[in-house]
Amino acid sequence: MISKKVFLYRLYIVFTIVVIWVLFSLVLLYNIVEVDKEVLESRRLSFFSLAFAIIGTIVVGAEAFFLKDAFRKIPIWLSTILRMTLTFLLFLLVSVILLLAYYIFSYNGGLSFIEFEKNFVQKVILTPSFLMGMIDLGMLSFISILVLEISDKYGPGGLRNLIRGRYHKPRKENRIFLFLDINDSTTIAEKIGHEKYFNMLHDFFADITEPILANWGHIYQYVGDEVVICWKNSYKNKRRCLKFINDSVKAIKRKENYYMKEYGVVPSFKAGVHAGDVTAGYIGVIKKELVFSGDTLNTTARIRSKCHELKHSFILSIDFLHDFEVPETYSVNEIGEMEFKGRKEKSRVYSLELN
Amino acid sequence: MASRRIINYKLIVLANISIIWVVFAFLFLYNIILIDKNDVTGRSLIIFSLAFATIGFVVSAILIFYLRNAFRFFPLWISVLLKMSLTFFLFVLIAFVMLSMYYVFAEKGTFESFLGTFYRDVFLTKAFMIFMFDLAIMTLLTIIVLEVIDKYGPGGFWGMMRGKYNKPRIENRIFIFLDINNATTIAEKLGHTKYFRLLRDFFAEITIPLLANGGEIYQYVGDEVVLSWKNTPLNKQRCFKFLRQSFFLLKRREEKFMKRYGVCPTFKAGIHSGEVTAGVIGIIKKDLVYSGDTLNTAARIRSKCHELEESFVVSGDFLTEFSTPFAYKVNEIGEMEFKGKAEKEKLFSIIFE
Repeated sequence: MISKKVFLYRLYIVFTIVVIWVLFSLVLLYNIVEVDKEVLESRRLSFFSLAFAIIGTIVVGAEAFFLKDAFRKIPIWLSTILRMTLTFLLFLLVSVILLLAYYIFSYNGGLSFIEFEKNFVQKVILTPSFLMGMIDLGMLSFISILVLEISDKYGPGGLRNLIRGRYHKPRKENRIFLFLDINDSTTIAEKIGHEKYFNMLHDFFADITEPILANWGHIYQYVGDEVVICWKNSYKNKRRCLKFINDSVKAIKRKENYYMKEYGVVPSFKAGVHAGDVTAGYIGVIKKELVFSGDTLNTTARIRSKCHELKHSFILSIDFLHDFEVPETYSVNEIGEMEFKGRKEKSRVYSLELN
Repeated sequence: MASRRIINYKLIVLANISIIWVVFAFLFLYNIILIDKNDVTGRSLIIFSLAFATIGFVVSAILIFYLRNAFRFFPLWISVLLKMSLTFFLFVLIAFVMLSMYYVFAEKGTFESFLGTFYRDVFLTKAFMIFMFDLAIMTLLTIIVLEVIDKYGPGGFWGMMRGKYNKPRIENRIFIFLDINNATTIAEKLGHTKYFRLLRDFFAEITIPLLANGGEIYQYVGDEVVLSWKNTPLNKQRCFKFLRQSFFLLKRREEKFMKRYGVCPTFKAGIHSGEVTAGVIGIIKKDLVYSGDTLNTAARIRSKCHELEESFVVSGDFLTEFSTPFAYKVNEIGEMEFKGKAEKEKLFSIIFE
């Protein structure tokens, strides 16, 4: 089962890949037209592009929504082969149907099966252009599988930022950071075993994916059992950040039964929220990564670690609350002071309660 | 100037990409032969494949060794366009040279008639145009593959393809948490953007000893980098060697850093080893994650460096069943509480002799 926001995000990727398909189809079509002049000359280019777009949408859609998760547990090379065969069969079917439809509408021969066989099988299926089309489609679906896998590695917007060169020169950004951590992770890990604990972590991160996407958050990185989520610093995003916490708590609550049944515990989490300037840019030669650097991050991590000490689940810094009116559904109370690096005076921290 | 290890690593990448080129060559060749029957059938398939492999090899070699960092500060799309036009000129040149060589050996006419036949029969044929087009696609693909391989890190892409971590597995690993000394002070002095450049150069420098000693970059956490090895006696030695080589490499680079930034970065490191659970996590952003107390402990050991005024602090767990090599001196310097252990663990410092 996949939630609405994840679905929309996947849909967006599917369409991006379909655009690649259509571009390739124009290139490949040129080849095919050259090869099989007598067969194709009379037909229109737009028809073929359309066919390619339809086949592409179906194939990539099937990949992104069904096949990708179906073979999650087996190695990718194996699942690629399996998926390729499956999609191959699928687009064989689709293209036969499409071509059949085309033939039915423009067909004006006799109605006997033999004559049809002669026309359709001989003139379409067994031509070199059709074979080449199949090979090209195979190539394209292979590329699609890789692109799907790679876009997951970069995360939403990651590839776009890379191509646009948003961070090719380091730049200063004002961002909200949220460090999120499962409560009592060591105890849980010891109780249910490390492998099972890891699976629980996986499920937990999967469940908060929907609130992250719904509130336009950006997963910066996973640090051990912790996940760091960030937003650009704006009034709207501050509200989204609080709403994300609220949504996540609810999302985990909804799946309480599942966690109890599967792991015997229901994970709860703590979070530290802070906002400030960071420098963003790419770092690394053999492993390139977008990195946010600055004291803001260290401070956020320290705020998160205060959660345990002050016995509050969610702690916000004064910097985050600056210029911000907390919506009525939340209550915010001052709970203490903390030293921030590079500041002489202590800064106040606040707890967040969800009403 | 790159070290032997980096060249080896790049050569492996190069070989892989060349294989992709050859595979595609067959596909494209099939197209070309079909299109331009009269022109191509006379020539042998092997020569064409060979030509494609050679061109692919040269183009990707140039991309990997020279052009990779050439347009680092441009947005990727601009650098792709620049690289593509550069390589395009390059392979027009190569194709011209190779084809003329072919003509020199097979043709018996004068040079003028050769040029005439060259333009008519080769350069202006459809096959050649399509060939060029296919090469452009391949170049684009190569650039993208290189970028993606960088994102995964060495071995990361194949690890993903092989599905090594599809199921979480427990591994015994060594971790080094490595951090620039006085980061905040330097950042304030240089300004944040310049400091970021310093950080980037610093990480670039230590990449060389890291590859030489078979280490893996796990992740960058703020100004810190986490390195990791499988836990074996050999890797423990390599781990020590890495620290030593990085230390002296930075000393050698002191002048360069002083000139560029006015400071020379030094670093501190905390070393620990133990069991972690390794697996892939995330739905929309997937990453290989090591989870477990070992990492938290290693981070805490690194933070002890400041407290104990030592550059390199190593845990007792790391030193068990390990005889320290000659050139290093290991001294006990204190104790620390480890999560989940009743007794305090000993900490040691490393000094290079």
